[in-house]
Amino acid sequence: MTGPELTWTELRIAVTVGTERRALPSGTALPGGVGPPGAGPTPPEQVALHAAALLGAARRAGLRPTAGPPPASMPADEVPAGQPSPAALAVAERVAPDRAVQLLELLLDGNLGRQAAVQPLVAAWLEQAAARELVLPHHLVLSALERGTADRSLQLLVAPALGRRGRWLATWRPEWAWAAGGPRTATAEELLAVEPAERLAAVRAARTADPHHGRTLVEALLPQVDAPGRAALVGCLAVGVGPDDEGVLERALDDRSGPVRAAAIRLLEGLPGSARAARCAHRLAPVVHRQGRFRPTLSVSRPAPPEGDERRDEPPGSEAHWLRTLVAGAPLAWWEQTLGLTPDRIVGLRLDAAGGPPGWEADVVGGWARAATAQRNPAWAVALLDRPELTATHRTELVTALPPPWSPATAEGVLAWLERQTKPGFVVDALTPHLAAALPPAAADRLTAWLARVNKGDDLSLHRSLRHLVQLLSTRQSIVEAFR
Amino acid sequence: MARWTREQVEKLAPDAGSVAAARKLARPGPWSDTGATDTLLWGKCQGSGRTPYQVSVDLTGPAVKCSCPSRKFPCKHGLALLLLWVAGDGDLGRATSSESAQAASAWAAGRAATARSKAAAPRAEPADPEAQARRREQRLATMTAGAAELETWLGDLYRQGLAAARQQPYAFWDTAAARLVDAQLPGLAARVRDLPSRLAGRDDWADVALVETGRWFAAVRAWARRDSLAPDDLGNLRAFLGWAAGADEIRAGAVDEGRLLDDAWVVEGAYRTDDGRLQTRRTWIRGTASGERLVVLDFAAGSEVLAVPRVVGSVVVGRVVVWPGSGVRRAQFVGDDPAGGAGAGSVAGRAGSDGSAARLAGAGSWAAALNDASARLAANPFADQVPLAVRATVVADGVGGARVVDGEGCHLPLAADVDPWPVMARVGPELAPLFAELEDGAVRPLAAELGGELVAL
Repeated sequence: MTGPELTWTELRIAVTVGTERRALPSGTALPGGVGPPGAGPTPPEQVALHAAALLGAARRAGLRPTAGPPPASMPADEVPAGQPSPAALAVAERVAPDRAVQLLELLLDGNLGRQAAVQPLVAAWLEQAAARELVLPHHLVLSALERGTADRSLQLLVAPALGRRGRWLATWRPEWAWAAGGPRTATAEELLAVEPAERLAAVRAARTADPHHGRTLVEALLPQVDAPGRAALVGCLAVGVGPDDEGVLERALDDRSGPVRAAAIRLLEGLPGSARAARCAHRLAPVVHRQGRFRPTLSVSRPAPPEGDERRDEPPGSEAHWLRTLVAGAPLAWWEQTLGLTPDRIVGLRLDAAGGPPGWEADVVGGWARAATAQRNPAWAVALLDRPELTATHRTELVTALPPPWSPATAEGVLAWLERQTKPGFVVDALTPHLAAALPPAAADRLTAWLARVNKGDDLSLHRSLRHLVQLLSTRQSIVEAFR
Repeated sequence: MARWTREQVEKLAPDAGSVAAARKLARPGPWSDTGATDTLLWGKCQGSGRTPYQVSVDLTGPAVKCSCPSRKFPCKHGLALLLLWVAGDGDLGRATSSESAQAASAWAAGRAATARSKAAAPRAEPADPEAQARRREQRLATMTAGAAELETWLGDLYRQGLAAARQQPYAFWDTAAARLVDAQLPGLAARVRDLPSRLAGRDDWADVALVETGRWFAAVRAWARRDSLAPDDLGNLRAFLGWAAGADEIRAGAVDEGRLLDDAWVVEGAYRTDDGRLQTRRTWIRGTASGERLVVLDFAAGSEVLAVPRVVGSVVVGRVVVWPGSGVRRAQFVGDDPAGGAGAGSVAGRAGSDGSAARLAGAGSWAAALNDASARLAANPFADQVPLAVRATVVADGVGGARVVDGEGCHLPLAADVDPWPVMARVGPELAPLFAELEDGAVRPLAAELGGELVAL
């Protein structure tokens, strides 16, 4: 055979369609003049098979790389916006000690319990690392990023431990933006141009990384978006809410939209030093009375309906429960000062129902519970746990709102309450993640003693829950020791 | 117990005369007291003498025992009983209480006990070299017939077009694969069976299908002239067909043929596959003195467990035996049992403790790495994976895949079965020496040299 050599493309087209429908180009030769053996005409499919064998082998062996920038990738020498400067990169990072790394591997692999149960231990690990400015080894960076993405409450702790490698990796996926190293430089104007969901994610990420910057974005965006958007923006401030946020929250009370005001009020309830808290206390003062000296009772009469500016402090739809709103909004310390009693004495006061509006005891106790949850007040929370007016959900919220680590008194109060439960196994199990994070090391002895008293046959679920909790506490202790 | 075929029974016969004689006896007339369990057949056959012969067949062997004086093995009575059982669709009755049944089960129990003690003892000499040679000839003939059939099938495929073949249901490929299994070409059978799923969802499916079918054809043609192939080429071909020589066979001629290599071997990477029936692990090793890159294969069927893996980055000082082949060569540590544990060789510690061993030899640009890969594929076009070292990094491409990029900005796709994120987390933004397999034009990184140490990815 002579003539030009058969090309791969010609061969592919013919064989794809079928050689009985599409002939190979006539007169073409196989590479190197190789041809099917034997004399006489060869059937076209035979020629094609020989060609596929030869050209295919050449194609495999002749593989060349693609030149030029890879599709949709980032130029290697360009530091993405928001990345630390090259000077910052020069600072050496120290990786957490081997023993600690092994413990974290066990936690992340699910060897020590399901994700939700070990979450507080992961958090404890990250706190230890952060306190010593240590970072994760590279092989754990991806798991940590994925944990933080799935559980927003971990993000503040995960971000510093990621180190340069983790921040670099985080630049590759939008859902990892929260970890990509400081706020991206997206401005309020740029954020207005994107979809609401994406905008909120960006604001949340900015707020997580830098509360001040996040607040600036919220303030800039609030006048320019619709009511649901404004309510969601105010909600973004829940991450690390503090006294610095009072200004923007106070202004949000003037919003036309009910949901926006409700969102602002929810956050202001956590700021007992705010002007709104003082206003609530001011309105409560005339109607709260302590009566009797030796066996004091508490009477609260009907507060005056809100007037004028006072209506700003009322969440929409709360008309029937002004009292509860006011109690929830006032500083808990105000009660202690006004009544001259400690929280457990106040909560234990006999409530004199005579002068109050219908259902007011529930409003007072419910308001205290909301305040204790929002203000994260351990003394009040522990004191309120036994009040019969509260639901199981309220109690769980009271306990889980208390920031770890707990003082010995708080731990004692919560554990004593747990022991008084009729079905403690269920409650212990539900609170395990939080207890594992918050209980002080000394509480392990008390739990072990309790475990010894529980008969496995009588209450298997309590036995299991307590054993698991003791194990988590001892792991937490190992984590602390591994960092020493 | 899988159903036997008449053909399988006849293959057991020592010669054609036995088959003919057995056929004559394979009718109910001369038989009495017959029965069968899942693994055992028995019966009495009236021969020329007064006492009928006691015949037992253990299907697990298969093994045959008969009280006749014939020196042929198995005798016509045993074959006839098997034929009768096959013809009756497995039904010989279940006369379990009979004398014949008791004789058979006692014999089978004795056999099982002997087998157990044999398994503990060193293996005896192969029974009969002549019979072995004959079986080998039979196998070669079956393979040749199967290869010829595949060539015809490929011709039909090309005439009717790959686009039409792609519309075929999986059963179309499975049927062709089943015929190749019957033809004792399991390697080709697996390739035919896997092709439709490899093509699924690929834009370049026609290229992949054309390259792959071209390789099948090359194998068929190479098989036709196997007598003129060099031993290494034949080794490459046998691996592709799924008829690689067994470890015993390899060791037998290894000394004379210079296929024993002593070296300090760096374990450069390992990869495990599991197709549900068979787990396979490839362990890539490189001799620090010779520079040879070899692959050690471990297999485990079904629920068996693969041997304990060797640690990537470790150095094993020891002797390997190498299969005949070129380009990409298979090896095994002498002392390792392929189905047992990896115990041979002494581990000389992590690579990198002495500095030189840790370096991935020859990690350079893609141009250099592919030149090496090209030479290996030219030497062995039947290799599926080619080992290579390259200085590169991995970047995601924004559509779920990733590219492996060298210092000159040249790149190849990351293999589709590799999750890019763990690799990127380990390797990072800087170039690092990577050990990888090249397969189907894509790259599967297995290890990276990071901080002077070779670590598995």
